[in-house]
Amino acid sequence: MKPSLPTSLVKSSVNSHSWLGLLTGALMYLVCVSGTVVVFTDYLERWEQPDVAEFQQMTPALAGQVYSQLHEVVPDIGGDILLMLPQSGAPRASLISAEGAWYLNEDGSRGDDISHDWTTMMADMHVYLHLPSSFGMIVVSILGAMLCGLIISGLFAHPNIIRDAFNLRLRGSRRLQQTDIHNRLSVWGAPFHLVIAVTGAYFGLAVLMNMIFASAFFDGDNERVIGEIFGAPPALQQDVAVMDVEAALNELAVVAPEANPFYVTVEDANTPQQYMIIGAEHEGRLIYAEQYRFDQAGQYLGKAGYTDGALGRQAIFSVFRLHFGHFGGLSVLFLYGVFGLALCVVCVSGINIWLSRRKTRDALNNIWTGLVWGTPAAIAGSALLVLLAGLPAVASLWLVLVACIALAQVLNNDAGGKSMLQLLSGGLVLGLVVLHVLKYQQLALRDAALAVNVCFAASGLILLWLGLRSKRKTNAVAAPANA
Amino acid sequence: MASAELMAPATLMASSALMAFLALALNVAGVGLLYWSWRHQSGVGVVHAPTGWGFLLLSAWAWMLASGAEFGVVQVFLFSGVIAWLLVLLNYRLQAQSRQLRGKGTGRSRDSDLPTTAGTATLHLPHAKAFARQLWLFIVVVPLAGAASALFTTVLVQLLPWQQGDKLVFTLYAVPVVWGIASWWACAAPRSYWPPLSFMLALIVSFLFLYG
Repeated sequence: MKPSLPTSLVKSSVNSHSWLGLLTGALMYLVCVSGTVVVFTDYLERWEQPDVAEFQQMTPALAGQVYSQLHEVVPDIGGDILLMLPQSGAPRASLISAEGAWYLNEDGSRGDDISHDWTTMMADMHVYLHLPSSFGMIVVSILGAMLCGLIISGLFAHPNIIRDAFNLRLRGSRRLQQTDIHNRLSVWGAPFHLVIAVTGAYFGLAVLMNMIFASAFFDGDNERVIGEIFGAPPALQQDVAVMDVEAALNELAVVAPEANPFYVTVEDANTPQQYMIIGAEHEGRLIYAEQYRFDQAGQYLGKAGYTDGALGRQAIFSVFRLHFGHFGGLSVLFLYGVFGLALCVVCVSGINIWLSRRKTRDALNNIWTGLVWGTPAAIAGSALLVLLAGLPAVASLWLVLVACIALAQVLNNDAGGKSMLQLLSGGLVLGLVVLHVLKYQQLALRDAALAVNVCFAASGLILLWLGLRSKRKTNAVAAPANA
Repeated sequence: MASAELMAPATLMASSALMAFLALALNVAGVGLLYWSWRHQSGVGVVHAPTGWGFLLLSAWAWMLASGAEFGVVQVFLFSGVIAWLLVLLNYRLQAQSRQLRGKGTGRSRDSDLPTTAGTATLHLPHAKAFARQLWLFIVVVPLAGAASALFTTVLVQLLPWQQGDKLVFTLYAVPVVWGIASWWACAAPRSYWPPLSFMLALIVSFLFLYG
């Protein structure tokens, strides 16, 4: 006798799953699509600015020189200063401060300004959906919590989870087809989806939860909450001098030879409390970085403890890499791309199931078709507009997306709208590749830019193929109807 | 001595790559055996399922040896999912072939049974009563369940015998899951007063515990 779930539980879970899916479907789709793109952000930034100097290493002496030069130009510079060091996977150095953000040449001199508006726009869409940032981050976090609800209700709504574990019936009715796609992708991807939901919810919820923690346990002091979770900053009182970045980097090589430093930040520059953080990767660890702290003379003060401190501290600093797949090299990045795409399909097929269960068909079908297939068109279209005319990335994306939804509504035909938008998306993606190659010529055909262009070209061709396939289907359906 | 030092990382990389290959092979065998047992649910298939799970455990161990404990755990879940999806596709092809051999053709897609064009392209908005019901459910699922989950989880986790930092981090990770469970319950019983009443009670008790 097989174990089975009570029918009433299954039925109520199906209702619950439907309601949560409908509540979040459209926004979840946008977050998932942008998240899938953002996984490759390091490559996209290099693609968007392919003319920046790339090199694998920066010596401590050169890093020190970069900071000293900045200090010479702006002696009273304040705030935090971030120096990103080149690495094998991200071979660029940059300097970000109140004075601006720019890349560095191999000799440490100032290079081009950092300007990857389109990639930043995609990241912003994923993090806060282009809403006012704090509110948007909370909305995205709520989507993370709702995704947890969807995963749980989905598992309880699926009494045949074992019987159908490997079943895929693409030749049945549309509803069965969409249900099978939805269930197979979501069940086998559930562990990944749960991790993405929990880590995704963290970013916005942390702000709200810190307020609760502060008021309940720390007399309303937010800084103490951050200190408890992430480690308190060192309390220094020094006669202000220029930070000795070189000495700190040399000292790090002695205290932690296994660490692979990839950024240096100067906190509260030009104040008696100023200190340095050197962020370093540790092989085989999910933590974003271990933070080694130094005073202005480059004397080692201690580390934050993300590698070997309290378990909670290690866990909290693993959220970023776990969410975006920035660990384990290209194979993991590729798998995150595949799973991200699968989650997009899960969102779409879920709403498709609901639409095919309805007895009526109205503008909602058109809007959904426009949103689903207009999003790739809007992503490619916005990149084209940014590259071609330097238009604002956010406005370009939403303009193209709204136009695609309007087009689907005007066409008022599921298959026709879908095929047209697929063809449009494919054309725009291929156009983007052509424009990039024309604009950057040799630079577009090397390293990261080449890899991205090849992937874009392949995606464009796939979209065109899907569009032509949908068109053939539309014609096949229309022919007997006309006859 | 110098050449030995140079050789060490290369040897390490080679052994790590070999272990990753072994882990992948075990992973394929594990999910493959689960598929085999699913295809043959009586007879030998019954034995294959536990063996498949055993192989998956072994592959997790091999992934951990290849890439460390943290990466290894993530990799076994990622690769298992992808292998399972590939087997789903394989199963689809096999079923199509077997249908053809039985002379039933490949089956015809029934996309045509769908209306592709709407008679009208207007948007049917819900009635005021239905809208109010959905709005109420939204309030229960999002702000009410969210606030109750946040406070209740904070209180529950405080009962654990851990240091404060660990408790706070665990709360941050647990809140979305608890909120997800609460929203599932609220939506599963949309007409019942139990979910909103329970959330209110949890909210008040937790509030008193934290601030009272």
